[in-house]
Amino acid sequence: MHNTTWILAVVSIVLLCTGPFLAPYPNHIFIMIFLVSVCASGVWLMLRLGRLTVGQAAFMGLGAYGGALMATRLGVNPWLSILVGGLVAAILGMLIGAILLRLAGIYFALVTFGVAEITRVVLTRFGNITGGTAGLWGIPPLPSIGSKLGYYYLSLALMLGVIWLFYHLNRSRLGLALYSLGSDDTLADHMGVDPFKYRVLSFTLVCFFAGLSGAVFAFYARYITPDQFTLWEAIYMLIYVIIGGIPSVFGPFLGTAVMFGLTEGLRVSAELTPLIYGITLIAIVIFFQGGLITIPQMLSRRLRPGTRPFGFLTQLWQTLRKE
Amino acid sequence: MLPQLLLSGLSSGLILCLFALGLSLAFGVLHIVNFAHGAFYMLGAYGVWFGFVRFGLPYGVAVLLSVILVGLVGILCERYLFRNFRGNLRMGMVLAIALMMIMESGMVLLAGAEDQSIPSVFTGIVDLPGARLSTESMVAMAVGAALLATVAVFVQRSKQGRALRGFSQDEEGAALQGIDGGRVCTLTMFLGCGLAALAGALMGPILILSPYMGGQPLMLGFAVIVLGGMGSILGTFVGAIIIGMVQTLTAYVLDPQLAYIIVFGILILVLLIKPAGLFGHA
Amino acid sequence: MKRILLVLVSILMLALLLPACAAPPPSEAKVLKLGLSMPLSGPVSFIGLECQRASEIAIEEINNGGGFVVGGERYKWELIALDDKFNSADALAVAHRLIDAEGVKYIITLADASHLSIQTISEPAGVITISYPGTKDVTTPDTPLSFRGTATFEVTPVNYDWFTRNLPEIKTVMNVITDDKAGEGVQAVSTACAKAFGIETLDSITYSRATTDFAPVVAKILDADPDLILFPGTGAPLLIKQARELGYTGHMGGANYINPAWAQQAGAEAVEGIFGAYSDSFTENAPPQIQELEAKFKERYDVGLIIGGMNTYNVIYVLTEALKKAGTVDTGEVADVMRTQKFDSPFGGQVEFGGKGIYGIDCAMMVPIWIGQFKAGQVEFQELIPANEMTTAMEKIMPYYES
Repeated sequence: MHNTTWILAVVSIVLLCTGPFLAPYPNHIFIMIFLVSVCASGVWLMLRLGRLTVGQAAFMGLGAYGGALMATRLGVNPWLSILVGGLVAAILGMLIGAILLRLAGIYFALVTFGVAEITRVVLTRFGNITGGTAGLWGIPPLPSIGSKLGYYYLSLALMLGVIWLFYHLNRSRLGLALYSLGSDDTLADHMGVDPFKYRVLSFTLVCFFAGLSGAVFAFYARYITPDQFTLWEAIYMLIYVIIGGIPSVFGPFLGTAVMFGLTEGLRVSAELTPLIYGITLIAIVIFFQGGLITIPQMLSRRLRPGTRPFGFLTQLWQTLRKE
Repeated sequence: MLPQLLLSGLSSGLILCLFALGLSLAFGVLHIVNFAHGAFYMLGAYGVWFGFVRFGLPYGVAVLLSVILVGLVGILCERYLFRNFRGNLRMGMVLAIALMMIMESGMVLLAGAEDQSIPSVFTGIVDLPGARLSTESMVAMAVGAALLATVAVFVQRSKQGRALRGFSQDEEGAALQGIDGGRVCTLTMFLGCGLAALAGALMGPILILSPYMGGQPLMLGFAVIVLGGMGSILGTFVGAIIIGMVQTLTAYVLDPQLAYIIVFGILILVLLIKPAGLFGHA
Repeated sequence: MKRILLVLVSILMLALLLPACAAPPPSEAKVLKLGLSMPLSGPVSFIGLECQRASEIAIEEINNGGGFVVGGERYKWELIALDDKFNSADALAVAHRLIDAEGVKYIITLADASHLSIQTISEPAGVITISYPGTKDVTTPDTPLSFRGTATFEVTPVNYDWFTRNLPEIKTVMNVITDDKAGEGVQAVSTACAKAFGIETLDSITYSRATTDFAPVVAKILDADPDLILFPGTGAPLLIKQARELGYTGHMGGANYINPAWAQQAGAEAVEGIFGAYSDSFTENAPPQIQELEAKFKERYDVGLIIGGMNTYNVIYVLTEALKKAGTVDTGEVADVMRTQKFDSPFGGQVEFGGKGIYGIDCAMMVPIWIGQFKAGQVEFQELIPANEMTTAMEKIMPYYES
């Protein structure tokens, strides 16, 4: 996967250069894509390590509220508040991970499910602190980040950093071992690999960055509500990862970008939105089983001499007919 | 107040059980995390609305037709969508979510985005010592309990039921015994979706219909199958009653949101102590 | 081979990004854009869709009538309606698209979360925003360009005034409210009203918007045994049904508005006697222009008006009047005109923006209120309260009001 470094470099340069030319609306969309990709990348890393988490949005929310409350209630400097937001999420993630990552995959997923729902209701219930359903407003902007472009670069840097870090975490000997063992922990024991500590470390980091991205969002949007960090947001993040593709660390970013683009495009279609969204999802899942990230591979295979030009469609037909 | 609350809790628990059973079976036998299950519940309610309110069929007929039709829809979904992704939990989940969106959106196009209602067929109140319940809810409880018992007996005793249990425990072993996996999957989906539809049909006159009404029972449904144990009918029953009771009582003593937090706190506690649930197998 | 592909992909990415860099097209002098950020899909979409449809009709009528003249120039409205899914993050994206990409200066949205979200960019950008919020935080002296499209809190004193005159047997009241800031706001106003009119407030019970089983709530009501319970529109039919089923025999009323559809949803017997403000578009007491709107709605969309549509229709007409009176499209001046003058309204008579006592700034449209009571499954007209009398009722309770 030496290509990954190349791809990272190319993507970074392209996105860095486009920044100044973006109008405010697409600029905003990109900022959202970058921040959500950070969380989606966390989901990706945990999947590679054999665990499914639907709690990422909740950790993002914890970071957002933690950071925002620090700044608005206690007057802490916003930069420091962002760090605090990340740490709050990280500490909670570490606690949960340390106690519960020993469980098999489905049970851990259900725990994150519970955490997500509890977080949402807690944020709503204790409204005298969090503002409840009406949200928390009046969050100050980050000092020395004057314009939207500043937030663009901040979020971009965060996302690129996270992609680079998670790529290497995944690629380390332990990471590769865990992935190739296919989350079969018994086999891992026999191979002398201790997945537990590595998973806890990874989960803590994943939660830290989710919290960080949430806090950045809070200071960017300057108004947050519990309904931005629900279980469904987390499930969407999982969908972005699956749509983008698990084989590559860029899958989450690709999936997030494509689905955000789809959402924006569908804003005018009103009642048909969920219908089109659902059909598109099914289509992508059926036609691109490895995720959209496998498109270059599929294309390069097609372009090799000797392949039937519409073999792809014939294959598809056969898949659908298979019983 | 206590008898009243206990009765209300029992009532909501029973309906929750009908709903959650399908979820439990879908997971235990088919290995799908069926996020679309709430949508089947919604379809069951709307089926009765179309049949009884729009087309003027007798209520009982509308319920029966609705349950059967939704069961068939479930079979189609399993056969042509979920079966291709057996074993791939994540893809299955994405499919289920996409299915849910399509069904909700489709219902908005068919019936409109406004809330609808089904007029009560069984009017009146049942007066018990210390508690009251609308006749409608009483009938729902009775029908629900009867069907639960039927399904339980069916799964325990009948040939198909044993095939189902064998298949969920060990697919290969079941195949070696000559059990047709495809048939088992079809039956499971029909039962599960049919029960969810029945829950929706029974709750229809009691609640307000909306294309999005399946969302909330779905969350509680997951809590139930965790508590009770996935794939266990008895577990689903016990789990649903417990959660129904806990929710009603804590909502009275504290408030509904804290009640919700407590229910999910219980979920996490169960996962900590006995992840397989009260009656589940690891 | 892979490298070449990589380069091709990056060129493709750049090409896709280029349209995003394009500047917004210059707006034509004759068109004024009206933005709508509404839930057009999802659980609350029936209100959002109603607002969108009513907006389309209002704009159609105004434009077909030749548009409107502002400072010597003739304008027509153009509607841009986008789906914000009732989610604040989506509302933010919609706001960027409307304000930055489309150059919209007037936005109507539905409720608090989306309004607060949009405000973060609309106020600095000089954009007037109007919504129907349930909390006070949306409209403060710090947000002079934000307005409330209808009375919310102001309705409660009017309801109290009506029932203290017509149902003198009521001595105690209990508020059943949603467990959020909107509910708190209702509770604060209701408590002040009770003090002003000499009614004893027993307690307030909260419930979650997602509640489907009101048995615990009803149990608490029966424990306290009030003469009257007041509740908002959310979840009302279920509360009404279960309250009657479980044996509550006292009075029930809307804390603000009641909805004729409750008769079908809860049953005619259960709703009998429930009173409150309602949006009259269907009795002969309804204003003629609104009756026409209802007829158009039924004809085109096969549904009747509930409430959002009527108010949005009214808001657009009033906004148009404000623009004409201001003589300029500069939103700062239009906002000043909105706060200080009276405007002809499709509701009949004139309306104005008030509410300084509660919000610190005049920003809430005072509209006439129809009070109705359910009789035999229908809402029967009881009394019409003109807009200025609403202001009077509000002033009466202000001395007792603690936020």
